[in-house]
Amino acid sequence: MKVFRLKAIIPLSLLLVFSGLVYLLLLDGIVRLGIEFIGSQITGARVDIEAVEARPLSGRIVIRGLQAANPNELMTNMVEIEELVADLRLAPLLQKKVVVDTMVIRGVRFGTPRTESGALSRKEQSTGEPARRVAAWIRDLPIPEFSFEGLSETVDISSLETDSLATVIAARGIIAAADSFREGWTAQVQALNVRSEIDTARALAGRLQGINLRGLNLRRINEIKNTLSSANGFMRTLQRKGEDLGDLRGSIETGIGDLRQRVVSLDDTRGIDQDYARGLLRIPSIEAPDIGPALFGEMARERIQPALNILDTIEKYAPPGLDPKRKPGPKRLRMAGSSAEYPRRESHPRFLLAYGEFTLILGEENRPEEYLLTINGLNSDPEVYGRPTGFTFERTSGGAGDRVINASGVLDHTSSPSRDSIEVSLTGAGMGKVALGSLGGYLDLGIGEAGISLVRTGDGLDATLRWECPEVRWESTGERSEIEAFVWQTLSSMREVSVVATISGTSGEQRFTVESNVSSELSRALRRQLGEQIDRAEARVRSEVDQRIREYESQARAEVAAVVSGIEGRLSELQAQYDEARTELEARLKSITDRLPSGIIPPSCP
Amino acid sequence: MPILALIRKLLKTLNSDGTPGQVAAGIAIGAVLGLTPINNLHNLILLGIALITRVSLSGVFLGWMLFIPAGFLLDPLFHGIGERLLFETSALTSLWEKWYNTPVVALTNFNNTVVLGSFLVWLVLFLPVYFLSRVGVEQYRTHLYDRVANMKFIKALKASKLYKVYRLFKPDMS
Repeated sequence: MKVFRLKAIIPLSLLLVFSGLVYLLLLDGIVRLGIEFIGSQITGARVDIEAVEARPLSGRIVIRGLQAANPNELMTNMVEIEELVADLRLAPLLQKKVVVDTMVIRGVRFGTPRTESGALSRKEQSTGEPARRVAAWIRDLPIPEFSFEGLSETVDISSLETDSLATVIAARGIIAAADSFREGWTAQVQALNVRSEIDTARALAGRLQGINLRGLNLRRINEIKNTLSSANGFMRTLQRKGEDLGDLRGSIETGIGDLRQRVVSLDDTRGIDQDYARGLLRIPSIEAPDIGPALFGEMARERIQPALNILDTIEKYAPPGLDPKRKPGPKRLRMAGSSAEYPRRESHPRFLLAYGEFTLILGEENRPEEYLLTINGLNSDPEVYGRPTGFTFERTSGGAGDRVINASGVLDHTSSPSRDSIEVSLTGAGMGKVALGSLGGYLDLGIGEAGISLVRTGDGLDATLRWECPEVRWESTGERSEIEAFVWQTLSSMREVSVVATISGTSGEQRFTVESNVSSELSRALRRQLGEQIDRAEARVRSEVDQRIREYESQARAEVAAVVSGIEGRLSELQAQYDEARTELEARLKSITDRLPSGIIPPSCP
Repeated sequence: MPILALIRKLLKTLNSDGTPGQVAAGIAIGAVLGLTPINNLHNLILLGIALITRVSLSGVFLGWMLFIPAGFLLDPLFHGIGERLLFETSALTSLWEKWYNTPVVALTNFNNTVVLGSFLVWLVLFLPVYFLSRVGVEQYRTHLYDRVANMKFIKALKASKLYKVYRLFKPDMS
């Protein structure tokens, strides 16, 4: 029987060719939908493309009119690209890998308006995940409030609940722990039963004392031998009991040490309560290290966030390591399952942009600035690629604007932990405005210089941001109290502002400092004007808190002292009785054995 | 319409095979389309094999339809098998790594738990499905075909235009 339908092969081949042609005709649309979908998953907002031209034989893809909406401002584009030309290698496509030899982008603009909202109709759970993670990291930076309202209020901490004070809670805990400790050690001493051993030792010593060594006969010798043997055996029991008593004493001393430590730590807890009560009054700190973050913290937070967003997105899509990676399977009617990826050093990364050159246009429409961004080795599997990704961003001669932004960076994810370093400098640019909280006004930083230097190793960040603004303006927008008016007067006389902010640490342990000539000057002025008033208010708060917690603190200290003294007295008494009984028994035993002929002394006796 | 003529000629050629063995082979191959997620390279290859060999295309279609519900129902099982093989059997990791980085093979999606699990289940079921289908077709033709053919409903159906369309796909019984 024939196996093949020979007559079908030619029509089938023709149909296959026809299908291929249809696919090629639809290829542009397929590529466009693919890029729009993947792009929107990364950014968390719509990505729209006007046209795509895919040339499968040469591996060239041309994208025109790409708009990626800003997820935080949906009627604005985060980026708009006039034209993108990418040259792909074809062979890696057979491994489902995209290797782009060169990519040239022209006409990149930022913050352009949109005609339609950039909101996604349906968001996946992982959509925009890096941006959310960075937002959480940034939100946890400790930035104090800049307000002087507290100074105008009378010192009243009636809203402070005594039961909620940390010292009161700790003191109650100590009393309970001391009670429980007393019950515990009493039970342990009873279980050890040293008293009965002491009584037995005394009785034995009495029996030994009553032994008469005159007129010995065989029966008497045997009785003496038995008494000596049992006394000697009991000495060993007594010795073990003594060791047990020593162990118990050791564990009790450890417990006493813990209790004493808890009592000592009440001093620290008192400090926490005083800070808490001070916070309720909203008395502003007038120290420069606190004023700096309060004034410029928000500004630093806003400036660092985009850089961290980019780094986190790259980290998510280009993690270090060669281990198999698990990803959710493709969306389909059937169950998606999980897909495994197996990066291999000798192979290509799943995505690689060997070299990219992007011409970007920034600034206002009538004063555009032209920049050139070059990227080397942007890839999805850094350990497979084996080299770090580098980029430079610099102003070219084109454009009329005065602003100059330069940036460069190296993103090294070739081994764990990944290490990213970025340097950005900005000159001749508007530095923006800083809101001045309850002071009712803004600080317009004017034209100045700024820079960011950032190193991220794993989860740890070490970033420095600086601003140098030679001509600032202070914009008043509201009424002020007397103190605020004084602060305003101090600030508004300043013309130059320099700020250096450092952000460092790992997630959950962020450290944030801001140094500025503004905060130093303001701190000095406030110290002169308000130092005494603030010191008085703080003293009142301390006194009020001390008064509330004093009783509980004393109770805890007294309870611990009583328990410790009781235990120590009881243990010393027991130890003394034990030592006395043992010494007496040993002496009696020795006295008898010294007087007996050696043949009568049982071999177990010393 | 040269394309329609081409398709008509193709179907006529394809429908010329209808022995119980050919129908059973068609059902066994069609089962893969139902059991595994459809949009995968192995399905295209097996469909191509079905088209150029003399298996019954009606059988392929029937097998596909019969096994679609089974595919949906057994997806958790397929996922479990794939999970075990892809993620929990370290001895196989080097094999998957090689496949994943081999041109064309990488396009099979065998790195997906459901695709791999369902394909392996189909491989195991291929021969049982073939033999059971063959016996079933023989029994049907011996004992049921005449009775079914004489049913009023079937006669009415045969007279309808729909049946003419169906004949395009019916295997030639001669």
